[in-house]
Amino acid sequence: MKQQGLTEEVLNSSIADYEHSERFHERERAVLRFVDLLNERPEEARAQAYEKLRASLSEEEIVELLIYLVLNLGMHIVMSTIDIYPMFDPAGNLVSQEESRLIYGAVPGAISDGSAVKGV
Amino acid sequence: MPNVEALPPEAVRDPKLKAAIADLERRQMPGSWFVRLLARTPEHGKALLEMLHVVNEGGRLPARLKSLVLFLLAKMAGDAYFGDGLRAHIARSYGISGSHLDSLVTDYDESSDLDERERLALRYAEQMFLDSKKIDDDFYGELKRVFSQPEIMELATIVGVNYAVYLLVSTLEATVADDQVGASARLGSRRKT
Repeated sequence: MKQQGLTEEVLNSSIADYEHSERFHERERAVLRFVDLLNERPEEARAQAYEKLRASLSEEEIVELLIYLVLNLGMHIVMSTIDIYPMFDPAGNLVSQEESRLIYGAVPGAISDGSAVKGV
Repeated sequence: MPNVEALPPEAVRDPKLKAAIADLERRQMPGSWFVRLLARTPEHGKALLEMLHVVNEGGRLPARLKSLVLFLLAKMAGDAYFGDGLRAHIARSYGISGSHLDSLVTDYDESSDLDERERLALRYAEQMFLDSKKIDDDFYGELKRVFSQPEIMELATIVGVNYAVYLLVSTLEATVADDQVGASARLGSRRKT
């Protein structure tokens, strides 16, 4: 993610407040809005939501986004129920499960504000 | 009308996607609309179809158990597109009525027509849908009593991938009426008989 210019500051603060962050352009905000809706209130992700998405993305891009969401949403749902440790250390480097266990302690850390990291 | 338009049949150029549509027509199953939707981004679409094929039709878990889980997920997601066709298809495959199938997945804890593995798989799928955070070590302990580790991973993958697909399809508000190719194939079949 760092290679794409996404720093921890952007991920931790700006995404939480993407509606008001100047770091994102309208296309990114439209996508994040749709993902939020799908995750939190899928029953509301209906015609209006697609209409708003269509203002920023082509039909091809919407279908590509849907496939991307399907695969990642499905994976995260499964992974969140299994006791596995993060595959990255807090600096974003790949680590083994054993190394990750030493870093993060007894409770596997999901995406968080960093407080799950041992000793933080 | 669905919230995202599928390509018209004549606009699908990719040979694999065209073959997938022909196969659905041959088997008189709905689904061509979904394939034509995926055809808007053929490479991504083929990858997703391949994954669904492997997850839903491969593996070691019994086909009946997987069918029950798929139907429960479609039903919970309120998926009108796959839901009704899926109910008829699964019910026909196992020689039961659609309403019996409904009752199996709705009252799975009470049903004597299900074995312990089927009941637990349905409870797992339901809980994943309602709140996956409640699936804890105890729940996995129960799963491990009746499923092997590879079977648990297979079940988790089935639930994860299909849950997300049904959820998304339900937001598209497509119905089988939008599945013009499939509908015409079924109509043609009835005319022949």
